[in-house]
Amino acid sequence: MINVQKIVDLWNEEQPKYEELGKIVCAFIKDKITEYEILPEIQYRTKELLSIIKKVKKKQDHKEYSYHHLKDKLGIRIICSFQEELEIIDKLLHDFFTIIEAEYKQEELDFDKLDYVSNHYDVQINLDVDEFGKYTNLGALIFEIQVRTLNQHAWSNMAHSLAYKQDKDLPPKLKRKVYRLLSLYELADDEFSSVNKALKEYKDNHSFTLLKKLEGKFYKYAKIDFDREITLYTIDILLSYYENEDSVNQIICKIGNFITNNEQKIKRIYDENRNRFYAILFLTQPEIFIIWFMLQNNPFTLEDNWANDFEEEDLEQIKTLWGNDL
Amino acid sequence: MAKKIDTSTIVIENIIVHSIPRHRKGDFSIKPKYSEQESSLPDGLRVFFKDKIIQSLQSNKELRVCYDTESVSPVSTYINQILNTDGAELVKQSKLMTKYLFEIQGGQNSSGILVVIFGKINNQNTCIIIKLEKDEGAQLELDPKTNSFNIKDVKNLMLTRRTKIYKVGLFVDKSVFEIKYDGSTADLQIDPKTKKEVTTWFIEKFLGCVPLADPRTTTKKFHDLTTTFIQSIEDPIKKAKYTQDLNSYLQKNTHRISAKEFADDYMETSDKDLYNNYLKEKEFRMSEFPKDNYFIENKIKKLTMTFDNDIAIVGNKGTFDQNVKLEKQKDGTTKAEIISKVKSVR
Repeated sequence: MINVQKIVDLWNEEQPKYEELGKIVCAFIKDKITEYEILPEIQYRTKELLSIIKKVKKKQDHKEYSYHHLKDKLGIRIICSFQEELEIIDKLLHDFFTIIEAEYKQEELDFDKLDYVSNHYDVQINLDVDEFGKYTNLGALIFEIQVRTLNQHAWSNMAHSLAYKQDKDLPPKLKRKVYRLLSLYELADDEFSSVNKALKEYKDNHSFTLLKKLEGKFYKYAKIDFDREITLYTIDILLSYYENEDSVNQIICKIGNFITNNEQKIKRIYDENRNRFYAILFLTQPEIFIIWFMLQNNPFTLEDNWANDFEEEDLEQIKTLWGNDL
Repeated sequence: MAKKIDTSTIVIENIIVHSIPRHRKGDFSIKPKYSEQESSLPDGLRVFFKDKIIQSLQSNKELRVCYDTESVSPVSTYINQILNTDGAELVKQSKLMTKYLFEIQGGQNSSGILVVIFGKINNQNTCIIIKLEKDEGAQLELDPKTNSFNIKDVKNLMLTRRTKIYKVGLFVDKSVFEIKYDGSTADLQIDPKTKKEVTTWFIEKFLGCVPLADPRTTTKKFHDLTTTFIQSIEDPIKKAKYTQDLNSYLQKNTHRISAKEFADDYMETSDKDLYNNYLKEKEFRMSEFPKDNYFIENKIKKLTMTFDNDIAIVGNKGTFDQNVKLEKQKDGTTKAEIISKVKSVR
């Protein structure tokens, strides 16, 4: 028999702490993950009181289980676009959190089991990490982090809506339908990954090649998403300023090194101007790196043509941000 | 090795404003209005002033300068005091600067505002001086409570047409950066009536500075490097055109010249960037410098064009292009046409 009132009291007391922890952890992961040049979706929620009570009650039917056994009172969900990002996030979690238990559910699943599931981690914040050091009052709280691809997320949501559980004994015809559906999700993830890889190596469209080279770097410094249509349009224009293919290829070859060599400067510019992105829209698009590259290497090509397509004030602003060597 | 001084790293820490009224030289019945303490600087205004400083120092008017040991200006001493005290003496030294500026200004100078800043550049101390000239009607009132000028009023003045373009000087301790110059200046003053540049008294008389390099040497270096670059161009007609252009440019009636202006005025865009990269490689700056043709006078008088068949055309530079018509032939050769009377044969 569960003591509901006790759970209510406990949760009323603990929920604000988990809420605070959720905010802190979410902000931390959002900030750190961009350094790995990806921008997954990150959400958190604290568990609803009713869910807590129901879960404790349900579990108690099979084993000794109390409110304190619950590890998902706070749940963080990280949804990434491609399955190769799961590994990157796994590394981040091991680097910055204390992992109590990690379940790589998909790897553990037998080939004939009907499910497509995410990685689950029961964790605590690591107080040795600078950003967490001051939250000693939250250090003991265990919470769950789920990491999944968009397709795993879609599957999970659909399975939830269909009230489907893989261990249910289904009639063969229905089972077959579920198998077919599942294989689509898994295949989609595999195919998205290989298309993404192929696109990164795709050389026939210069603007697209540059976009692929820049997007990760952009996430790293800007820590926001951007408008791809604007980026491709702007890159097309910028590249049209060059009179020959060699110069365009030079940008493609050198832009990565240019960004790496100016890493500190770019980081500083972004950090200093984060609160006025709205006033400097070019800073919120990855083509800013190409403009800075051109200002350094082909200033006349840029400045002689710019006014035909863009506002002169914008270039002035971009130049001012970059500064000059005295 | 010299350390970089990157304007994007400027951080404004303290700022003070003083006002200099218009007065006749020697007329001390009028006095400058001094702030007795630093002005408070909200973040938005901090960004505004930083941007304005960068834009000036990024302009073609930027010039590396050294303190002139023979100058009577005490401003370098005041600047060093500010730098050496980590800005603690900003109020005192900036007032002394203002007093000196007031003393050397005469009736021909507009009333002005002196903004003195202590801050950091590449994490090292810097002192930045901005001088604004304003019309008589543009007023700046001392706040009696704080005994300082409101920095927002200065911004407003800078945004209106009642304030002329400003002059900027940024100074550092050169030993810290292991450089040979004390700072960079940008004197953007243009006489609106004649459109000609007036004297750079801000740099020379007030700041007591001279250009880092002797203008005669800089002009020669500019001529020689530009000539070498032009010689590397394959197209003989373009080569001849740019050579004549360089000559015309150097003989123009201006006191200051720049590689940027030369490129902008005479070159095709693709050549401009090659030229820019070439000069960068040779560590020659694109911005302006005072022109002095003393070392190249003879070189720019005559232009000689020698052909593969050993025939040469010698002409006075500046008039060469008007008298020799060059035409590219299909076989890659060049046709030169001169229509004139034969004066002599030697």
